[in-house]
Formats: sequence, C-alpha cells, structure tokens
Amino acid sequence: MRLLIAAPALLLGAMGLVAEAGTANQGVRACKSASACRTREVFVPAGVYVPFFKSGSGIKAVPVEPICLSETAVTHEEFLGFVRDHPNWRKSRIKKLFAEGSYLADWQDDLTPRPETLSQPVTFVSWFAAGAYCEAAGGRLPTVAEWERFAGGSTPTSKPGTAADRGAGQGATPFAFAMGRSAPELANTALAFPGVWEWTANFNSAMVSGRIGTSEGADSSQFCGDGIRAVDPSNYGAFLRYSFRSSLRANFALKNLGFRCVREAP
Amino acid sequence: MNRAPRGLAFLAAVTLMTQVTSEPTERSVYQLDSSWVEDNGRAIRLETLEGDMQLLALIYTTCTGACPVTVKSIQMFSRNMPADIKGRIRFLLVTVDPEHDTLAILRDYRRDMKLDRRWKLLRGSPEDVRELAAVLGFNYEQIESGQFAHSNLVTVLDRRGEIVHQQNDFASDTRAVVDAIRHEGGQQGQP
Repeated sequence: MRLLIAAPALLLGAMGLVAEAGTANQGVRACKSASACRTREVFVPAGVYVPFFKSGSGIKAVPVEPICLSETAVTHEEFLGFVRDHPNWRKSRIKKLFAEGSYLADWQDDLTPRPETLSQPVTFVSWFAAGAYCEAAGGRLPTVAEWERFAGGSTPTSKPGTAADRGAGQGATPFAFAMGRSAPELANTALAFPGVWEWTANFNSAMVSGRIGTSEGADSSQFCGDGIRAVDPSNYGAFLRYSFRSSLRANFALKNLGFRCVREAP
Repeated sequence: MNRAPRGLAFLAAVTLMTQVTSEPTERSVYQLDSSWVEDNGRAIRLETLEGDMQLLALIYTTCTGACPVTVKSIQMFSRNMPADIKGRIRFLLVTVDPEHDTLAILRDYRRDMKLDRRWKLLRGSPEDVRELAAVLGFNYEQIESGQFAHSNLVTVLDRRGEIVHQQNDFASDTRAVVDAIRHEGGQQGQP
C-alpha cells in the first residue's frame, strides 16, 4: 500500500510545483485578533473543518480554535539554528527511534546544509524532529484539521489531472475553502506552499491504508471502502494527502516531507 | 576446569544485564519523554518497564468493537502460554481516551475484564498517547464522543523496550508472538 501511495507523491514532487511566495495580502492579517500573531504568521480565525472522511453518523464539522500559522514551511536555515542550539537533533546524534537513517540526508554534515537550499523548506525531517523544532519555537505542529482547513482543500469541482488538482495534491496552492475565500483571492496571500508535503501533529489519525495486515480500522469496519466513505470522493488532492499521512511512521525522513508550525492565538 | 569459563560467562552476563537496565537503546520506545499513571494511582515512566518483555495494546474502555476482542484474546493467551515462556512477559494496556477513561474507570475495567497483576493499565496526556501511538504505528481518531476509529495492533516489546513483533488481529494466530518471546528469551543478557 505504501508503494501505491508513494508513487503519486513522487510524481507530484517531480513536477516541482512552486507557489508564488512573498505576495503579501494585508487582508488576511487585517483582522483585529490578528495582532496576536507575529510577522510572517497568518492569523486563522476560529471556525469549523469538515473532515475528508465521514464519521460514524455522517458528515460532522469539527470546531477549530484560532491559530497563528507560519506563512512558510520551516527552511534549512531555520532548522540549522535549531540544531545549533539543540545538539541532540543533529544528524550524527539523533537516536534511531526518533529518525531513520535518511534524516537530513541532504546536509553535508551536522551543521552544513547545502548553501543553495538555505531559504528552501527543510525536508528529510522526522515527525519527532519537526515537533521538537516547533516546541522550541514556542509552538507546535498543526493538527490535520488545522492544516487541511487552511492549507489543504481543493475546489469541489477539481478533477484528477487538472492543474487545480495537482496543486491541491501538493498543497501548492492555498485554496482554503473553509474560510469562504475563492482560489484567486488566496493565490495572493502571503502563504506559501512549495512542493513539499507537511507533517501534522496527528498524522497517525488517518485510517486509509492497512499498513500491517488488512484489518486496520476493523472496529465496526468503520473505514472499509475508503473512497465510498469520503465526504467528497472527487477531492483527489485530499485523498492523496490522507493516504500519504496514513502511510507515514513517526521516524520517517523523506525527501518531499517538511513542516511548518502554528501557535495558538493568544 | 570448567569453573573459570563458567564464572566468566556469569560475570559477562551480569555486566551486560547491568548495561541493559542503565540506559535505553537507540531504538527503545522507552526513550519517549512521557509520564503515565497506573490505574492504582502510581505514576510511572516507561523506562521503569525495562527488564520484562511487554505485550502492549492501545484500547479504550467504552470500545465495543475490536478492543474487547483483543483484550480477551491476550488474556486467553496469557493463561494458555506454552510452559517455556510462562512468566517471561507482562501485559500493558494504554487508553487512547484519557479524557473519559479516568483511573477509577480503568480500575473498573480491570475488575470487569478480570485482569491479574501481570497487567498494567496506563493513562497519560493526549499528547503522550499520540506520541506513543505514533512510535508504534498505531493510528486512531475520535470520530464522535466515546467512539474511535483505530488500528487493531498488538506490539511485543523486548526487555529494553524495542519493538520485536507487531501484528493486527491478535485473536487469529499467536504463534509469531510465542516465537518473539522465545527468541528474546534465548538472547538473555545480550546488549
């Protein structure tokens, strides 16, 4: 199953989708409560998120608290600062439980990312390392609900293979329908989703694939027939992301997987 | 003439055992910086489990689907283990619903399921449970109040807290679990 999931991921990664960064939209940050957020963070007001999968009794919206979301994924340069201050997370020191052998595979040594990648999102980082970074920065990883609500999504009409869908699969274009904004509007926000997938705090909540054996989610056969249980089976991007997450283990360090942090809005 | 080698072997074994209980190995789950409370109210950290093999399952007490079946099968296994592995393994249940499963509820669960002293029932913070689950590869999600969608995964940890065996659907076949326990038993004292 993991192989099946990885294939589209790699394919999309190879397309090298890059979102337009740095075109700040003051509108997003103009909300009053947004003053709680720092620069390079976007305020996301409280709201609801409709999960991709139906729950036991049907479609159920999940309340989401207001957060400050980093505009960009954490870069190599930022991660370098973190490992300088926290030696246990350097590639030569990290324990195998917390990251597999490919951890920071593209770094030359403990403190040397490739110079040309400094401003790009750091990848080859495990869930543990990502979480530790965010904690040190006074935040945490976003939950699936928080990430999907703002960063994920796809147009209800997007179909596999369309430009919009490729964007959604990669999270390359921030659509954020839950906020009631249209895609063109959000294309102008400061949020950047370059061509990497991102860790979420509860990545291991998705019940798409049976990683070991076939009876995962066997409780009342809750998630048999994944496509059928999806709220919007045509949301190919969301399906890819949920599948990808469910294939992850916390120590994975993958070429296409980075992260960003959130802080709970004070 | 056999005395010296045997003595040396004994010494080596003691030395290695000491190492085993001093610091978790690189792959040990016991490296997690989390804190737990047993149903009897005693606070414990995972590293205190070192020294015994553990059969670990994540459950919640209001579960009506897979969990009772899993717990019952582990219990049946615990009662009918082959003689040569009896006493080599303990049993660990961790609730994924700490909000509902208070210590009192866990105590009731222990009583209702007739779990003996070889079993530990643990409650931790939602973050610590999420982390432990992530390490094990156990997926779960609350789908509505008192109901979770979850993996049906049972894990065997060796005496150092490393994962030596995992399987879904424990009820169907316990041979691999027996093998894992036997194998670990044969490795007594190795680092």
